[in-house]
Amino acid sequence: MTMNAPDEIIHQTTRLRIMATLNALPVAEPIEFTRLRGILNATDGNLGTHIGTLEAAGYVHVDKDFAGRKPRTRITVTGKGRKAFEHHVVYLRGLLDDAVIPETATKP
Amino acid sequence: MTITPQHAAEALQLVEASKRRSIELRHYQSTAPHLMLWGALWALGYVVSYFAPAASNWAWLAIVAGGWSADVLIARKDHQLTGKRFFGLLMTLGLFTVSSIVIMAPHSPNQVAAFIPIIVAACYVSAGLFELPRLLLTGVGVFGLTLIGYFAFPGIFLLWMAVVGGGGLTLGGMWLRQA
Repeated sequence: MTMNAPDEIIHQTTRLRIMATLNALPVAEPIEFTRLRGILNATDGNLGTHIGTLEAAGYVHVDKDFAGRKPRTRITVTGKGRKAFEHHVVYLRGLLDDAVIPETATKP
Repeated sequence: MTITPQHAAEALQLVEASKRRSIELRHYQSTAPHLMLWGALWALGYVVSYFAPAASNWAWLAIVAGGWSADVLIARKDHQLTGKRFFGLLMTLGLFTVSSIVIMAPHSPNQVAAFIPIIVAACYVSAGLFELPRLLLTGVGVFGLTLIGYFAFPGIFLLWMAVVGGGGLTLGGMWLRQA
């Protein structure tokens, strides 16, 4: 992937939100699946599928263990994932540099 | 794959919103155990102050020392501020509070008992102003309840702070954890 191309894996809306959420955490800090599901307001199946895609690309690491007797799934963004996300954000910003965007699209 | 500038702007908005939400919840998760810890410690300290005023100073000394140690351990375990920096933050607040009490020379236990929670509440409100509304509301709640107890129930103020102050902090911590 170059800086001049979008990252097709990351750009999908749910995966973009997953990566933005994970990238905001301190390096190597995991987030629990259930917590991420709550933040994104996603279903188990939907979130699991997208995390699987990101894991296959090497962008996240999925760790399954037990907290006491309860199974726990934790997700961590990898170094490769952080770089890919940052490149994608740079790419998106680059698209805006020379473009005139309607005001409603840039208001928070 | 073609992305229009309009689409890019929307995607960046999404990134920014997700990032803000992630940071907000991270702060809540980090702060919650401290609030619950101090809620329990306040309840204990104010109960001792109310029922055994002679033991109050020693009890609070032990509570503050124990509470700060637990704070540092929680902060280190949770990868928050480094141990030294967090300890420095606590020492700064502690020295400011003790210095203020010494300089102002309060003439009743209720004044000291109200002053410290107000300082704590101000810290929570200040932190809450940085897009952490639950922390802001917790601080406002502790501040308001402290003032109500101080002016409306001076005879049972220490007990009021044990139940309402300690309980308020504990509930605030639970509320943050559930965010």
